[in-house]
Amino acid sequence: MSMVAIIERDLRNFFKYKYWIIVLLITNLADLLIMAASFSNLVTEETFNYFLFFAPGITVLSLFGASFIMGIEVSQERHSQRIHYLLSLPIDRFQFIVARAFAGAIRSLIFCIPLLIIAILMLGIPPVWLLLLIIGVLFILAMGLTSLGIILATAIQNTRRYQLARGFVSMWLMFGSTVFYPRDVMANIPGMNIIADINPLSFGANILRGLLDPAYFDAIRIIDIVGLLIFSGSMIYFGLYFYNRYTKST
Amino acid sequence: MSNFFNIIERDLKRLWNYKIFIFTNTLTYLVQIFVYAFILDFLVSSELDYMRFYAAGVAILTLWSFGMWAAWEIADERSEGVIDYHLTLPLSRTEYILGRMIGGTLRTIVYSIPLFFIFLFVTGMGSFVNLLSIFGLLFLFSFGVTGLGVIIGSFTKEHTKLSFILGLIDAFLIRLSTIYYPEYAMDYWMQFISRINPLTHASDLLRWGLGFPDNSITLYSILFIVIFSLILIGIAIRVYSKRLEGGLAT
Repeated sequence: MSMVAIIERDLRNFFKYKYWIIVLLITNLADLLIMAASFSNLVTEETFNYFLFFAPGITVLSLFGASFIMGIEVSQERHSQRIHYLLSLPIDRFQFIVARAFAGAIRSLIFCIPLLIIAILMLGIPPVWLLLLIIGVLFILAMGLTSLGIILATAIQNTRRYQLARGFVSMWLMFGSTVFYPRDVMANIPGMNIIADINPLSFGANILRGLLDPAYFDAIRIIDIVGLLIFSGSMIYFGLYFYNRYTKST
Repeated sequence: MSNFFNIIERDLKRLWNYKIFIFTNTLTYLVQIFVYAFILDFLVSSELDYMRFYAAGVAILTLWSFGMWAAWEIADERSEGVIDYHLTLPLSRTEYILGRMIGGTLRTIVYSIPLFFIFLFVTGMGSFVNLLSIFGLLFLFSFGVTGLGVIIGSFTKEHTKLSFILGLIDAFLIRLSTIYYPEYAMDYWMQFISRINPLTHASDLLRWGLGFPDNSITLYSILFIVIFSLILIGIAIRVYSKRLEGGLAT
């Protein structure tokens, strides 16, 4: 019951960032409807529609953006000393941490739904079971990314170092994944395809593309499914470890 | 006159206060050019050297985002009450305001110069005289953008509102300009907005200065940048001066 209370609190808190959410959503929509639409007119290959390619990518990117808010929130709680109040609540430490990761993932899922709807409208409405599978995949990815955000915020206590680390990780996740470009084109930079292969946003983008667009069904590889499960599983584990260690040292 | 230079000197010294912002911003721009644009270049028609095109656009984006940083600085000074201290200093209001704006512009230029050398390495250079003449216009453009930052920062000191306003401006102004793609790739309505977008004209002028084959300079672009900048500088001086007078605590 107390876990539900923490999740509910975090969900309510999410909408306190309404300005931030609106800007992020508008930016993502502009990336898709203005930037990708214009860029697709520059792409020469007739069989390749960049606009449709990018739609699942931006959905995953928006999920990532919203997932990292939880890390920022955890970091701010340390500065404002609100963490002491949270830890004084009559709730088990483990439940508290799991609830926060869950809440982060639910928030990210809610945030990416408008972009997912646009992607679905563009690529065709899938059957219900596929839709549930898509939501499941996005939720697992969101759990992993939220946990990654929490790890960064709790493992690096120095604010400047945390901001730097967040910047580096974001750069790797965004530009080193198949969100913006296909994997075979990335291979033009030696080693980039390997970087893409160990990138959780690539896992999410590849799986989502394959599930939404039959033309990309082959894009889903075993490495994407296994990679996603390993990434999220390990991030949740380390997230629990670091958050727990941090709350004990606070 | 020495007071005026003291203000400029102070603003230039403060450049190092933003070292994390500078570092991550610089790194992001480099990754955007050498990874993002380089990869996308393989998707684009060979008639357009996308990496060169993008690098020139990003150079203007650097001037824009660093010039707009003035908004954060002014807002922070207002919320922290630093302006109260500034007003007790023995210098005239005009010296203070002009000093701040020129200091902010010079800071943008100092920050951008090393990046410009990297951009030149990517884009190459046509005529040195053309480039030099464009630099004069770009200085005026930076001055105008700093002015815009000062205007926005003078009206709100709340970080949430400020990031909302700046986020909205960036989401549309940057994507509806020729920073990322040429005008012919845009839909008709986007082209219309792009024609009245200062970022389009600044990018086009720089591309002409760099000797891009399909970019010809137009009197309209020159006039647009000159008028846009002068109007914003004029409004910024007036607004900042009025807000200093009695609106600091509001």
